[in-house]
Amino acid sequence: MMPSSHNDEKELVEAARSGDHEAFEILVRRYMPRSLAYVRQMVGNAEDAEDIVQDGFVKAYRGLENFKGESSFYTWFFRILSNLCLDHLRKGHFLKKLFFFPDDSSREDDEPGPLERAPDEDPGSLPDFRLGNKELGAALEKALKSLPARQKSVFLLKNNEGLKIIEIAAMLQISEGAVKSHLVRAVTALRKSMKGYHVA
Amino acid sequence: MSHNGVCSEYEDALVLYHYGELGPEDTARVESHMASCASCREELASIASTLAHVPTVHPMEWESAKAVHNVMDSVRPSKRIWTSRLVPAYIAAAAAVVAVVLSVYSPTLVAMLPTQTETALAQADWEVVENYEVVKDLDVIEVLDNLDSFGDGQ
Repeated sequence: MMPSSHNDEKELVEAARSGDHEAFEILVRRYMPRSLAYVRQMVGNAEDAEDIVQDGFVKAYRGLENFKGESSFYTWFFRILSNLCLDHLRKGHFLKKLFFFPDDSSREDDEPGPLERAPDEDPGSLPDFRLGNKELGAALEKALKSLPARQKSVFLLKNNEGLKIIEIAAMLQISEGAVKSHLVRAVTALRKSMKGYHVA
Repeated sequence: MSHNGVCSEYEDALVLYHYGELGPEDTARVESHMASCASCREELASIASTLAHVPTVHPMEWESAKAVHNVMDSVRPSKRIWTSRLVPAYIAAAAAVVAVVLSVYSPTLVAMLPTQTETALAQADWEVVENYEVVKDLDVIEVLDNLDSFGDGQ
Protein backbone atom coordinates (compact mmCIF):
# COMPACT_ATOMS: atom_id res chain seq x y z
CA MET A 1 0.00 0.00 0.00
CA MET A 2 1.38 3.38 -1.00
CA PRO A 3 1.51 6.11 1.61
CA SER A 4 -0.99 8.90 0.97
CA SER A 5 1.83 11.42 0.47
CA HIS A 6 2.62 9.58 -2.76
CA ASN A 7 -0.50 11.08 -4.29
CA ASP A 8 1.46 14.21 -4.88
CA GLU A 9 3.15 14.02 -8.27
CA LYS A 10 6.41 15.64 -7.22
CA GLU A 11 6.77 13.18 -4.37
CA LEU A 12 5.95 10.30 -6.69
CA VAL A 13 8.63 11.45 -9.12
CA GLU A 14 11.12 11.89 -6.28
CA ALA A 15 10.33 8.45 -4.91
CA ALA A 16 10.55 6.85 -8.37
CA ARG A 17 13.88 8.57 -8.92
CA SER A 18 15.23 6.97 -5.77
CA GLY A 19 14.19 3.53 -7.00
CA ASP A 20 10.64 3.20 -5.65
CA HIS A 21 8.95 1.11 -8.34
CA GLU A 22 5.54 1.39 -6.73
CA ALA A 23 5.71 5.17 -7.02
CA PHE A 24 6.64 4.90 -10.66
CA GLU A 25 3.81 2.43 -11.24
CA ILE A 26 1.32 4.97 -9.88
CA LEU A 27 2.58 7.49 -12.42
CA VAL A 28 2.36 4.90 -15.21
CA ARG A 29 -1.20 3.96 -14.19
CA ARG A 30 -2.18 7.62 -13.96
CA TYR A 31 -1.03 8.53 -17.46
CA MET A 32 -1.42 5.25 -19.35
CA PRO A 33 -4.98 5.77 -20.71
CA ARG A 34 -4.23 9.30 -21.98
CA SER A 35 -0.90 8.18 -23.41
CA LEU A 36 -2.45 5.26 -25.29
CA ALA A 37 -5.26 7.47 -26.60
CA TYR A 38 -2.90 10.19 -27.82
CA VAL A 39 -0.35 7.86 -29.42
CA ARG A 40 -3.04 5.69 -31.01
CA GLN A 41 -4.46 8.73 -32.76
CA MET A 42 -1.01 9.94 -33.71
CA VAL A 43 0.23 6.70 -35.31
CA GLY A 44 -3.11 5.21 -36.32
CA ASN A 45 -2.82 1.70 -34.90
CA ALA A 46 -3.08 0.12 -31.49
CA GLU A 47 -0.08 -2.23 -31.64
CA ASP A 48 2.45 0.42 -32.59
CA ALA A 49 0.87 2.75 -30.04
CA GLU A 50 1.38 0.25 -27.23
CA ASP A 51 5.04 -0.27 -28.20
CA ILE A 52 5.66 3.47 -28.37
CA VAL A 53 3.97 4.16 -25.02
CA GLN A 54 5.93 1.35 -23.38
CA ASP A 55 9.14 2.66 -24.89
CA GLY A 56 8.21 6.15 -23.67
CA PHE A 57 7.68 5.06 -20.08
CA VAL A 58 10.90 3.05 -20.04
CA LYS A 59 12.78 6.07 -21.43
CA ALA A 60 11.12 8.28 -18.82
CA TYR A 61 12.10 5.88 -16.03
CA ARG A 62 15.71 5.79 -17.16
CA GLY A 63 15.74 9.54 -17.66
CA LEU A 64 14.19 10.49 -14.32
CA GLU A 65 17.59 11.67 -13.13
CA ASN A 66 17.54 14.33 -15.86
CA PHE A 67 14.01 15.47 -14.99
CA LYS A 68 14.50 18.76 -13.20
CA GLY A 69 10.88 19.29 -12.24
CA GLU A 70 10.63 22.61 -14.07
CA SER A 71 7.54 21.34 -15.85
CA SER A 72 5.03 18.74 -14.72
CA PHE A 73 5.90 15.08 -15.14
CA TYR A 74 3.00 14.88 -17.60
CA THR A 75 4.41 17.68 -19.81
CA TRP A 76 7.88 16.17 -19.68
CA PHE A 77 6.59 12.68 -20.42
CA PHE A 78 4.34 13.80 -23.28
CA ARG A 79 7.34 15.52 -24.83
CA ILE A 80 9.08 12.14 -24.88
CA LEU A 81 5.96 10.51 -26.34
CA SER A 82 5.51 13.20 -28.99
CA ASN A 83 9.11 12.83 -30.12
CA LEU A 84 8.74 9.05 -30.31
CA CYS A 85 5.55 9.45 -32.38
CA LEU A 86 7.20 11.90 -34.77
CA ASP A 87 10.20 9.56 -35.13
CA HIS A 88 7.90 6.62 -35.78
CA LEU A 89 5.94 8.52 -38.43
CA ARG A 90 9.14 9.77 -40.08
CA LYS A 91 10.51 6.21 -40.25
CA GLY A 92 7.24 4.95 -41.73
CA HIS A 93 7.25 7.80 -44.20
CA PHE A 94 10.85 7.05 -45.19
CA LEU A 95 10.13 3.34 -45.71
CA LYS A 96 7.01 4.08 -47.75
CA LYS A 97 8.98 6.51 -49.88
CA LEU A 98 11.73 3.93 -50.28
CA PHE A 99 9.25 1.36 -51.56
CA PHE A 100 7.24 3.90 -53.59
CA PHE A 101 4.07 3.67 -51.51
CA PRO A 102 2.00 6.85 -51.36
CA ASP A 103 1.99 8.27 -47.86
CA ASP A 104 0.69 11.44 -46.28
CA SER A 105 1.10 10.50 -42.64
CA SER A 106 4.18 12.56 -41.87
CA ARG A 107 4.72 15.16 -44.49
CA GLU A 108 6.86 18.11 -43.65
CA ASP A 109 4.67 20.64 -41.92
CA ASP A 110 5.21 23.39 -44.45
CA GLU A 111 4.18 21.07 -47.24
CA PRO A 112 0.43 21.37 -47.90
CA GLY A 113 -1.57 18.19 -47.36
CA PRO A 114 -4.27 16.89 -49.66
CA LEU A 115 -6.91 18.68 -47.63
CA GLU A 116 -5.06 21.96 -47.85
CA ARG A 117 -4.30 21.49 -51.54
CA ALA A 118 -7.98 20.96 -52.34
CA PRO A 119 -9.50 24.03 -53.96
CA ASP A 120 -12.00 26.05 -51.97
CA GLU A 121 -15.18 24.90 -53.57
CA ASP A 122 -18.52 26.52 -53.23
CA PRO A 123 -20.37 24.35 -50.68
CA GLY A 124 -23.39 24.48 -52.95
CA SER A 125 -21.53 22.59 -55.68
CA LEU A 126 -20.66 19.68 -53.38
CA PRO A 127 -22.91 16.69 -52.71
CA ASP A 128 -25.27 17.20 -49.86
CA PHE A 129 -24.41 14.58 -47.26
CA ARG A 130 -26.28 14.36 -44.03
CA LEU A 131 -24.11 12.37 -41.74
CA GLY A 132 -24.92 10.73 -38.48
CA ASN A 133 -22.47 11.22 -35.63
CA LYS A 134 -20.79 7.91 -36.45
CA GLU A 135 -20.19 8.70 -40.11
CA LEU A 136 -19.12 12.21 -39.28
CA GLY A 137 -16.65 10.89 -36.72
CA ALA A 138 -15.27 8.44 -39.29
CA ALA A 139 -14.91 11.18 -41.92
CA LEU A 140 -13.14 13.41 -39.41
CA GLU A 141 -10.90 10.55 -38.33
CA LYS A 142 -9.85 10.01 -41.93
CA ALA A 143 -9.17 13.71 -42.34
CA LEU A 144 -7.21 13.73 -39.06
CA LYS A 145 -5.03 10.87 -40.29
CA SER A 146 -4.03 12.82 -43.37
CA LEU A 147 -2.80 15.84 -41.38
CA PRO A 148 0.97 16.41 -41.30
CA ALA A 149 2.50 14.90 -38.14
CA ARG A 150 3.27 18.15 -36.32
CA GLN A 151 -0.16 19.63 -37.07
CA LYS A 152 -1.81 16.45 -35.88
CA SER A 153 0.22 16.47 -32.70
CA VAL A 154 -0.64 20.09 -31.90
CA PHE A 155 -4.30 19.55 -32.74
CA LEU A 156 -4.65 16.43 -30.56
CA LEU A 157 -2.86 18.02 -27.63
CA LYS A 158 -5.11 21.08 -27.86
CA ASN A 159 -8.45 19.62 -28.89
CA ASN A 160 -8.40 16.22 -27.18
CA GLU A 161 -5.97 16.74 -24.31
CA GLY A 162 -7.12 20.30 -23.60
CA LEU A 163 -3.62 21.67 -23.09
CA LYS A 164 -2.85 25.36 -23.30
CA ILE A 165 -0.88 26.67 -26.26
CA ILE A 166 1.95 27.69 -23.96
CA GLU A 167 2.11 24.10 -22.60
CA ILE A 168 2.11 22.60 -26.10
CA ALA A 169 4.89 24.97 -27.12
CA ALA A 170 6.97 23.83 -24.14
CA MET A 171 6.13 20.20 -24.80
CA LEU A 172 7.03 20.25 -28.48
CA GLN A 173 9.79 22.82 -28.04
CA ILE A 174 8.42 25.17 -30.67
CA SER A 175 7.26 28.77 -30.39
CA GLU A 176 3.73 29.70 -29.31
CA GLY A 177 3.29 31.34 -32.72
CA ALA A 178 4.16 28.07 -34.43
CA VAL A 179 1.67 26.20 -32.23
CA LYS A 180 -1.08 28.68 -33.13
CA SER A 181 -0.22 28.40 -36.81
CA HIS A 182 -0.31 24.57 -36.73
CA LEU A 183 -3.58 24.61 -34.81
CA VAL A 184 -5.33 27.00 -37.19
CA ARG A 185 -4.10 25.07 -40.22
CA ALA A 186 -5.23 21.76 -38.74
CA VAL A 187 -8.71 23.08 -37.91
CA THR A 188 -9.01 24.69 -41.35
CA ALA A 189 -8.00 21.42 -43.05
CA LEU A 190 -10.47 19.37 -40.99
CA ARG A 191 -13.30 21.79 -41.70
CA LYS A 192 -12.43 21.80 -45.40
CA SER A 193 -12.83 18.03 -45.43
CA MET A 194 -16.30 18.47 -43.96
CA LYS A 195 -17.44 20.98 -46.58
CA GLY A 196 -20.71 19.87 -48.10
CA TYR A 197 -21.62 17.82 -45.04
CA HIS A 198 -24.32 19.06 -42.76
CA VAL A 199 -22.79 19.08 -39.33
CA ALA A 200 -25.57 19.08 -36.79
CA MET B 1 -14.38 39.54 -46.51
CA SER B 2 -13.46 36.06 -47.73
CA HIS B 3 -15.33 34.06 -50.34
CA ASN B 4 -17.58 32.24 -47.87
CA GLY B 5 -18.75 35.38 -46.15
CA VAL B 6 -16.37 35.19 -43.20
CA CYS B 7 -14.20 38.23 -42.62
CA SER B 8 -10.73 37.01 -43.60
CA GLU B 9 -9.01 39.01 -40.88
CA TYR B 10 -11.00 37.06 -38.28
CA GLU B 11 -10.64 33.56 -39.72
CA ASP B 12 -7.63 32.54 -37.61
CA ALA B 13 -8.79 34.52 -34.61
CA LEU B 14 -12.09 32.65 -34.54
CA VAL B 15 -10.29 29.31 -34.15
CA LEU B 16 -8.18 30.66 -31.30
CA TYR B 17 -11.25 32.35 -29.79
CA HIS B 18 -13.04 28.99 -29.82
CA TYR B 19 -10.21 27.49 -27.78
CA GLY B 20 -10.05 30.49 -25.45
CA GLU B 21 -6.51 31.21 -26.57
CA LEU B 22 -6.82 34.92 -27.39
CA GLY B 23 -5.52 37.59 -25.07
CA PRO B 24 -8.04 39.97 -23.43
CA GLU B 25 -7.64 42.67 -26.08
CA ASP B 26 -8.09 40.32 -29.02
CA THR B 27 -11.01 38.63 -27.30
CA ALA B 28 -12.76 41.98 -26.89
CA ARG B 29 -12.04 42.85 -30.53
CA VAL B 30 -13.49 39.55 -31.81
CA GLU B 31 -16.56 39.78 -29.59
CA SER B 32 -17.20 43.34 -30.67
CA HIS B 33 -16.91 42.31 -34.31
CA MET B 34 -19.19 39.30 -33.92
CA ALA B 35 -21.87 41.45 -32.36
CA SER B 36 -22.35 43.03 -35.75
CA CYS B 37 -21.30 40.20 -38.10
CA ALA B 38 -23.70 37.30 -38.59
CA SER B 39 -21.28 35.43 -40.91
CA CYS B 40 -18.57 35.30 -38.26
CA ARG B 41 -21.06 34.18 -35.64
CA GLU B 42 -22.14 31.36 -37.94
CA GLU B 43 -18.52 30.52 -38.64
CA LEU B 44 -17.77 30.28 -34.94
CA ALA B 45 -20.79 28.01 -34.41
CA SER B 46 -19.67 25.85 -37.34
CA ILE B 47 -16.12 25.54 -35.91
CA ALA B 48 -17.52 24.47 -32.56
CA SER B 49 -19.89 21.98 -34.15
CA THR B 50 -17.22 20.32 -36.32
CA LEU B 51 -14.69 20.07 -33.51
CA ALA B 52 -17.29 18.57 -31.20
CA HIS B 53 -17.45 15.59 -33.58
CA VAL B 54 -13.71 14.90 -33.66
CA PRO B 55 -13.37 11.31 -32.46
CA THR B 56 -11.59 10.60 -29.23
CA VAL B 57 -9.99 7.30 -28.28
CA HIS B 58 -10.73 5.62 -24.97
CA PRO B 59 -8.55 2.56 -24.40
CA MET B 60 -10.24 -0.34 -22.62
CA GLU B 61 -9.36 -0.82 -18.98
CA TRP B 62 -7.69 -4.17 -19.68
CA GLU B 63 -5.58 -2.60 -22.45
CA SER B 64 -4.26 0.00 -20.04
CA ALA B 65 -3.69 -2.62 -17.34
CA LYS B 66 -1.77 -4.84 -19.77
CA ALA B 67 0.33 -1.91 -20.93
CA VAL B 68 1.10 -0.90 -17.32
CA HIS B 69 2.15 -4.50 -16.59
CA ASN B 70 4.47 -4.54 -19.62
CA VAL B 71 6.08 -1.25 -18.63
CA MET B 72 6.67 -2.36 -15.05
CA ASP B 73 8.02 -5.68 -16.30
CA SER B 74 10.61 -3.74 -18.29
CA VAL B 75 11.75 -1.49 -15.46
CA ARG B 76 11.70 -3.82 -12.44
CA PRO B 77 15.16 -5.31 -11.94
CA SER B 78 13.70 -8.21 -9.92
CA LYS B 79 11.71 -9.23 -12.96
CA ARG B 80 14.87 -9.24 -15.03
CA ILE B 81 16.58 -11.53 -12.54
CA TRP B 82 13.55 -13.78 -12.61
CA THR B 83 13.74 -13.85 -16.40
CA SER B 84 17.46 -14.58 -16.37
CA ARG B 85 16.81 -17.48 -13.99
CA LEU B 86 14.55 -18.92 -16.64
CA VAL B 87 17.41 -19.16 -19.14
CA PRO B 88 18.91 -22.36 -17.67
CA ALA B 89 15.40 -23.80 -17.63
CA TYR B 90 15.09 -23.03 -21.34
CA ILE B 91 18.41 -24.77 -21.98
CA ALA B 92 17.28 -27.79 -19.94
CA ALA B 93 14.03 -27.91 -21.90
CA ALA B 94 15.96 -27.77 -25.19
CA ALA B 95 18.22 -30.62 -24.02
CA ALA B 96 15.14 -32.68 -23.10
CA VAL B 97 13.69 -32.12 -26.58
CA VAL B 98 16.97 -33.25 -28.17
CA ALA B 99 16.95 -36.39 -25.98
CA VAL B 100 13.37 -37.23 -27.02
CA VAL B 101 14.24 -36.73 -30.70
CA LEU B 102 17.27 -39.00 -30.32
CA SER B 103 15.24 -41.70 -28.61
CA VAL B 104 12.66 -41.64 -31.41
CA TYR B 105 15.20 -41.78 -34.18
CA SER B 106 17.69 -44.04 -32.38
CA PRO B 107 16.85 -47.25 -34.44
CA THR B 108 17.77 -45.36 -37.59
CA LEU B 109 20.90 -44.04 -36.01
CA VAL B 110 21.85 -47.50 -34.67
CA ALA B 111 21.23 -49.01 -38.12
CA MET B 112 23.67 -46.52 -39.51
CA LEU B 113 26.38 -47.71 -37.11
CA PRO B 114 28.59 -50.69 -38.24
CA THR B 115 27.53 -54.05 -36.78
CA GLN B 116 29.87 -56.35 -34.86
CA THR B 117 30.30 -58.72 -37.89
CA GLU B 118 31.04 -55.78 -40.13
CA THR B 119 33.59 -54.59 -37.64
CA ALA B 120 35.20 -58.04 -37.48
CA LEU B 121 35.33 -58.25 -41.27
CA ALA B 122 36.85 -54.87 -41.49
CA GLN B 123 39.46 -55.95 -38.98
CA ALA B 124 40.26 -59.09 -41.03
CA ASP B 125 40.52 -57.01 -44.18
CA TRP B 126 42.93 -54.76 -42.45
CA GLU B 127 45.05 -57.71 -41.33
CA VAL B 128 45.17 -58.95 -44.94
CA VAL B 129 46.39 -55.61 -46.05
CA GLU B 130 48.96 -55.59 -43.30
CA ASN B 131 50.08 -59.12 -44.23
CA TYR B 132 50.16 -58.12 -47.85
CA GLU B 133 52.54 -55.39 -46.95
CA VAL B 134 54.64 -57.90 -45.02
CA VAL B 135 54.59 -60.30 -47.99
CA LYS B 136 55.70 -57.49 -50.24
CA ASP B 137 58.52 -56.71 -47.82
CA LEU B 138 59.51 -60.39 -47.67
CA ASP B 139 59.67 -60.54 -51.50
CA VAL B 140 62.00 -57.55 -51.53
CA ILE B 141 64.18 -59.16 -48.87
CA GLU B 142 64.27 -62.40 -50.85
CA VAL B 143 65.34 -60.53 -53.98
CA LEU B 144 68.00 -58.73 -51.99
CA ASP B 145 69.20 -62.06 -50.50
CA ASN B 146 69.42 -63.60 -53.97
CA LEU B 147 71.42 -60.66 -55.22
CA ASP B 148 73.57 -60.92 -52.16
CA SER B 149 74.27 -64.65 -52.62
CA PHE B 150 74.87 -64.03 -56.31
CA GLY B 151 77.48 -61.47 -55.35
CA ASP B 152 79.06 -63.87 -52.89
CA GLY B 153 79.23 -66.54 -55.60
CA GLN B 154 81.12 -64.16 -57.82
